[in-house]
Amino acid sequence: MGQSDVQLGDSTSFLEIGLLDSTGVIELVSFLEEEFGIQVEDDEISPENLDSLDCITRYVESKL
Amino acid sequence: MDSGALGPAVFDIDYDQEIERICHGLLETSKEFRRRGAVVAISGGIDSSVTAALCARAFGTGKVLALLLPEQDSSSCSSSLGQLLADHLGLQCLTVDISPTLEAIGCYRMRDEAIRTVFPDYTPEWKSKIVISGGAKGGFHYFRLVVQRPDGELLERRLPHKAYLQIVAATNFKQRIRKTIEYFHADRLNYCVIGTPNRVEYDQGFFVKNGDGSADIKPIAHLYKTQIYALARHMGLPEEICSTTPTTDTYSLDQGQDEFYYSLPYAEMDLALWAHNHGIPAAQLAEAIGIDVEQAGMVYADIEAKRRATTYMHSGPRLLETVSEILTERQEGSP
Repeated sequence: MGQSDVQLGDSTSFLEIGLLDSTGVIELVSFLEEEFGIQVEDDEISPENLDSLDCITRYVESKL
Repeated sequence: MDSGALGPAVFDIDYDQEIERICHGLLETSKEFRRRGAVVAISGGIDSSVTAALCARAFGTGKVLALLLPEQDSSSCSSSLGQLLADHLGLQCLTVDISPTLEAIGCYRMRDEAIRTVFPDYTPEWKSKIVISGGAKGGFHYFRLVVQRPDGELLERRLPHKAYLQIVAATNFKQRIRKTIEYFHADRLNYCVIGTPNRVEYDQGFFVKNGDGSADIKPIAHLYKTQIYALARHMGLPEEICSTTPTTDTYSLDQGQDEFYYSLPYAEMDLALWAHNHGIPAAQLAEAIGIDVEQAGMVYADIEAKRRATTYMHSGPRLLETVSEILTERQEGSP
């Protein structure tokens, strides 16, 4: 899913830098589900939860 | 341009001149390749129908072979419309059912194995398709698997990454086996294989690499689908073909192209791509196709995202060092 030359900060928006395509989104969601044993609901696949490393951290912590 | 001018009229071209230009290009390119005719796989859809008609015009009907390559998930309409076209144009047409080949190579088995990881009760009697979901208001797109039980009940779940990749990889066998058969006939007859993508498909990478993305000449890749429909009518193709709705004809459940890949139906997608290519502000596109400005901005962003994501699809094999005696600009890049 990645572009190797992108400088990725904790708050960098994946949408703004075009990091994630639709295949990348399902790869990310599958990774989170398998790695953290959480169930990602369809309505949780949103920029609010998944658009940066900070967002993902907050989201996963809220699910644990 | 004012917003009133952004509409179907932007696609108006001189169709006689365009036919002349394409036919000249087909003949000149095939001469350069030392091939003397054309193989065209036809599906009854508008793109392959117009391509076959252009080939018939360029090479003469005696030097064009039309192939109908159905498999068990193909719509029965595909073959009947394809045959109608071949009869209308007076083309020699061969039908090769590729289902046994796909069965032998494991296409259906590996697809069904992946589907069962999502729907454990799934059997080959069920139908299926992949649809794209999400993406509204700048959100993320993701894929859902839709299955239909034999009693007609529809079930739908989000696709995990591994299952998605395997289903797509398995179904890609269909386009790649078709291309293998096209090249068999092209080699045996010393013909070119003619690809049938329209501009949006080509631009947005909506093809299978080394499958339908592979060809010797792609004569309508510069034309928007709206123009291809108009060309079909201009060339007098049968009304049944001129009024077909675009589908992928790849999955056993009916699947519109906008369900799987594009964010808009084809006519609006054409206009969006044209507007984006001509620097038209999102607000004007929004007004022209009846969406809000934010959505229009997202459509533009999606066009750019697909261009980035499909670089691999367009790339030919990369050499790590130039072979200056062989490499030419013409040999690089296009699938």
